[in-house]
Amino acid sequence: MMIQYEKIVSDGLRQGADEVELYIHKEKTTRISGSKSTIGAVSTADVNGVGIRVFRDNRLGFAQTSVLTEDGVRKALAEALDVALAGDPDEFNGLPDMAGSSSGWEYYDDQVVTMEPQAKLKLLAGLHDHARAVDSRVSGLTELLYKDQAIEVRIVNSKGVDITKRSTAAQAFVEVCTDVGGDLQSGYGLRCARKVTDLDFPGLVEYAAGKSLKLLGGKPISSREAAVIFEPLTACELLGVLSFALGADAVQQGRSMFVNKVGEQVGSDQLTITDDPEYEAGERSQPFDGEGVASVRREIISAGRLTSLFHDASTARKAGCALTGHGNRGNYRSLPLPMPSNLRIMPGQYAQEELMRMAGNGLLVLQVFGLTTGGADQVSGHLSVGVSGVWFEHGEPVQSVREVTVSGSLFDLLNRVQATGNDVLDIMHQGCWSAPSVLIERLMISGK
Amino acid sequence: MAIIDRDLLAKVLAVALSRGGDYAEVFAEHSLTRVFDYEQGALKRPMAGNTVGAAVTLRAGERAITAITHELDEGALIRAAETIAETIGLCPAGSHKVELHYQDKRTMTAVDIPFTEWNAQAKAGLLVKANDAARAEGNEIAQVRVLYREQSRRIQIANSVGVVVDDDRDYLHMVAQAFAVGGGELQVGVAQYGKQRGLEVLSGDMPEELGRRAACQAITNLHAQPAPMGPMMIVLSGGWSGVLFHEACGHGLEADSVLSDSSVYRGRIGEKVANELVTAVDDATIAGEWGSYGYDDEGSMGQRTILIEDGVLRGYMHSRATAEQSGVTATGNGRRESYEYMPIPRMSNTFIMPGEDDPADIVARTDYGLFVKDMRGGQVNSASGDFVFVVSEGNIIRGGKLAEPVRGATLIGNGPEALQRVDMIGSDFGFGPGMCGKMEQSVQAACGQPTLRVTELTVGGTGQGR
Repeated sequence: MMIQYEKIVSDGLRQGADEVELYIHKEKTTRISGSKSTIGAVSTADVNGVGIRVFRDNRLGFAQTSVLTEDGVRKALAEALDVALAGDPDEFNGLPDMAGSSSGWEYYDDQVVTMEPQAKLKLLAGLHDHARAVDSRVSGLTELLYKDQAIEVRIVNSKGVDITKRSTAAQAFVEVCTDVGGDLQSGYGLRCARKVTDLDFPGLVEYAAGKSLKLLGGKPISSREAAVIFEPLTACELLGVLSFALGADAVQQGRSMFVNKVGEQVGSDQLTITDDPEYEAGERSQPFDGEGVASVRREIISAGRLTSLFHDASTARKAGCALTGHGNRGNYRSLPLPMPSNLRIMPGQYAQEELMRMAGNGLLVLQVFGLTTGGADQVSGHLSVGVSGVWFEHGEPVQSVREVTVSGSLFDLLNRVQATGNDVLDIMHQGCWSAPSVLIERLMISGK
Repeated sequence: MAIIDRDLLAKVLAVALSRGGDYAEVFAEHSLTRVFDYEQGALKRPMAGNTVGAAVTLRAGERAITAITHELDEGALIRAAETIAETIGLCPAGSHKVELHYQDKRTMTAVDIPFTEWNAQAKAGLLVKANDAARAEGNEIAQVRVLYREQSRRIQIANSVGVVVDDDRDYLHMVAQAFAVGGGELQVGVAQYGKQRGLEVLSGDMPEELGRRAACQAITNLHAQPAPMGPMMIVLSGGWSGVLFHEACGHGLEADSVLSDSSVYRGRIGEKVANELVTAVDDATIAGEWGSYGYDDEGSMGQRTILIEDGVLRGYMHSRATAEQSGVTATGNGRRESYEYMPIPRMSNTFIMPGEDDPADIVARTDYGLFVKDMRGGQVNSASGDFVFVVSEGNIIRGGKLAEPVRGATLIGNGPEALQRVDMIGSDFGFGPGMCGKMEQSVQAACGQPTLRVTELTVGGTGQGR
């Protein structure tokens, strides 16, 4: 029997809430994984749940449950009302005052749902052999993880909002290894797309194999200041770190490097970062955010100037500014928090080789370590990460490099963006990030 | 009370195998969570969670087909079993019978006072204590955030070999973050506690101690010098510094990396991979420890596995599938983040065993180096063995004494090389709790070690040396 969500909302009001919101999430996910020639693990999941926010006397209470029965949802409502009593009142708490709609964009590919898992498995056949065919030093495909999702989100709240959005996404991660006399190197690649058939699996394998080959025989270099080019995947990963610091909650709570920086120059004029919920290639494209507020394209950093933060309803209320439609959630288990939809470093006009010639001498970074485990501190702005890549001189590769670190401040990195490439990559990791190669004029490299 | 009735489990397994296959399994889970987030003097976002779900898996040769559902009624479970049976479809539908026998319960969780004994307001009060203790450390502390998370996880696994087990895991986790401001700088300090214990651990001054430690670290870092760059001798304090071994070696000893030829430790059982002082272990059977469990998430008994003994590689960590592929007994390391994911080889509590040296002596006998008091996290490239981790609090060692604090140091090295360069191991010991991420899954893993010295690692700082 269908659950009457509107009734749950009105019951919540009767039981003491001033405002109630139900975030109903339905998801079908297919995962395929394996290594070498054995791509044999296939799982299909039906994962549904509801996240319930209640506001009572300016206190917030939140409960989530995967038990989507009348009884299960009512229990969650009771939990939310109960746990709200432990919260402290905050005058800025509450639902947004306006909502978007579900009309217009449909970010949906039926094939994600209609294509049988076994048919998807066929698309992944032969990738191990394809990797080995790239070069005799390639030992093969050491890891493959494919995932697709069809998600439907419905938001019902006590302000009369009842809107639904649907989206699909498909993504693949591969790791390819090279082996030369026991010297083992790996290269990984990530791709995402809205449609299953838009994913170029052979191309992804070639990319990962190519990276792995470039890193073979890598050695540390001596410490020096030099130009650094972040290859698109590493630039996406850096963008991910910055996205946490650009949330208004972090800034308002004083735990972001961008405190007191809105309106100021935080990067070079070559750097523009846009949040784009309408990006055709983006995995997090959406008509409205996780609170139901309309999402619109917005420049966050314009030619180096910080023009906007990500806001949810409560941070916008506190700042006294207009809603920006960034109250996003990973899934029903999370509260909405200021987060981007598709965050993009806007591309420039240069191929990666042209950036290398522009720099003359420098380090092309192919892999970064420690970014998300403390190496990039979005509070202090300090950066100290392990990297591997290729040292180049006069624009030409000279030697593979590993076991070095790149250090400095994230502000130095942003202010020294000399140019951006035209080789855009879109990935789905913890968010949807999009970036080309980025040339940084100089950073400190620590080695032997 | 069992999550799913034993007779229903047997029926589901029988349906799963009704059209062929070698092995079937049901994994069911019920998790209750509470999260309290305290910041700027207020508890803003109290959260309650209730997760229920199951995964039904059928293996046939190299294929493993799984159907995952959030519904645990008979209809949903049978449908899941029928779907996977049809997908494998090796033979016409036939009947199959599975008889299940409960294995002895062997919970590693060590709870005296269950989470349900205190209400939300009482727990919220602890966060205030941590906050107040942090702020009392000085005016430089501009901001404090305290997170409390409790999770009661019950799992149930039944398989076609005839085994059914229950396992309970109760996780209590608190983190204090303090932000110190001065001279245009902002530095953070972090302290955390994580064990499979109950509310009894909150009765003493643990919350205040977390607040104090976080604040002291933030203030120290505010006044610290930039760490030097280049190769240095490193003394790592005991406890969470065990993340060195977790990254340098642990991931490379997970059997899936070994079998896919993407581990620097493949084919090296019986070889010397570390200094002979080093003995390292993965042990899921430590009562109350963060990464422990009685049975892993495939129903294999959690156990103690010797990984390295006196410097020699002795074994890898296996899931059921990798153990079968390798022709060895399962080691009880098949873990999954939740019912939504497939089990893969993971660490539990991984640590270097204590040695003979007096920890104070290790510093005293170091003329110049870096003392690592605390670390954030780390990351490894299992193929090459290259790892990196971030130092969150450290001091220069000069003339055998701890000298000026330094900040911003990243340590980079290569796993096998670093372990060969361990030359002193202390007689002390400690554990720290971590969330280990691998292939989009995050699980509780504790890292531990005594104070130990590595003769050389590269430090990525921005300051000058000596």
